[in-house]
Amino acid sequence: MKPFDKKNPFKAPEGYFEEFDKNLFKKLSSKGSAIPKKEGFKLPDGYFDSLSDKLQQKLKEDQQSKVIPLKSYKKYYYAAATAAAVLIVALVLNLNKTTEISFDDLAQSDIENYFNQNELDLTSYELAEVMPISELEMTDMFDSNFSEENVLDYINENTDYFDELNLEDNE
Amino acid sequence: MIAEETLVNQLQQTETQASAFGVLVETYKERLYWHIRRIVLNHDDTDDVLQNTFIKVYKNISNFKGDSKLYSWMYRIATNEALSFLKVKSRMMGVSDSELQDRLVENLEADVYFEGEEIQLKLQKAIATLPEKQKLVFNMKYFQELKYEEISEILETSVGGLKASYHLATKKIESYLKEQKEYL
Repeated sequence: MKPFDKKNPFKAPEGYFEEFDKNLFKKLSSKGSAIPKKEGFKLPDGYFDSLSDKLQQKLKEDQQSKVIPLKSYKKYYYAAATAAAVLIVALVLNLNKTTEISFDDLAQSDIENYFNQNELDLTSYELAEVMPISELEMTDMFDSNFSEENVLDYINENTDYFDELNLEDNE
Repeated sequence: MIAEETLVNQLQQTETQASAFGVLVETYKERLYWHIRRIVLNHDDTDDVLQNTFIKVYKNISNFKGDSKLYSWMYRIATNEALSFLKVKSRMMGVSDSELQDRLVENLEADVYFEGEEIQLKLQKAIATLPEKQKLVFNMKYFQELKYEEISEILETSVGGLKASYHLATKKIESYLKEQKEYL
């Protein structure tokens, strides 16, 4: 039997293997990400050249604006401070004599007004985080005071599934 | 290039502070500019934020303890300045953060400092849809080509977390761009 011809009958174009790496990498880079690398941002000509000067200028202005000649006004400050102190003492004495507004009352009304007039950007979860739930009593929610017994009676009579409320578990 | 340690030393001493600050600005101005620009998009806003960043660096250099690299410390200041600038802007305009993002991208169309090519605009629109963290990571990795280790030091996040964020961001942008292409 005639042995097979060991000679390879296939041929590759000349220089194919030399060019192979180059072609492969070219293909790889073009097939890479679909996201462009160019962003399109531009900036004014010479911007970076003038930046240092602008910054030095700004720093200088910043430092200059901080220097306030205190000395020449010093004596007036003492006088003003004395006058203010006298005024505060007088006011405090006067307030103590005439009115008896407690801090709690003031704060309460201020807080209520604030809540009424401002729309709070708080979700119920955020509110829940700051509300002292453990210190809240049922009566805090109502203007009139209900006794706990009455409330339980009411729920008992008006709720179909009273047992499902699991009131005892939550105590 | 001057060694970072020497520069920090000079910045912390009154006699050499001014000249060292000049070197610092020269060295980092372009990198920080592009970092900020990719967050606030508009040139004038970038200019404001960049100047504030450098001034903050100058004023706080005495507090710089060298726990991190100087450049990551500066990048962190720049990032915080840019993000809080956007927060103030959205509050002043009375819009949400994402609405502001949409408007910033819309404004690019008329921006003289933006090359109005369709694909670039779409890319910005795609980036605007990302959550803040992914946006930062994507810009720092894809455009600034920072290493994960560097980004991790700037954003104080783990490398693993950053890789996940970057992967997600890339996928989202690619699918956004693909979707847009299909609509055309």
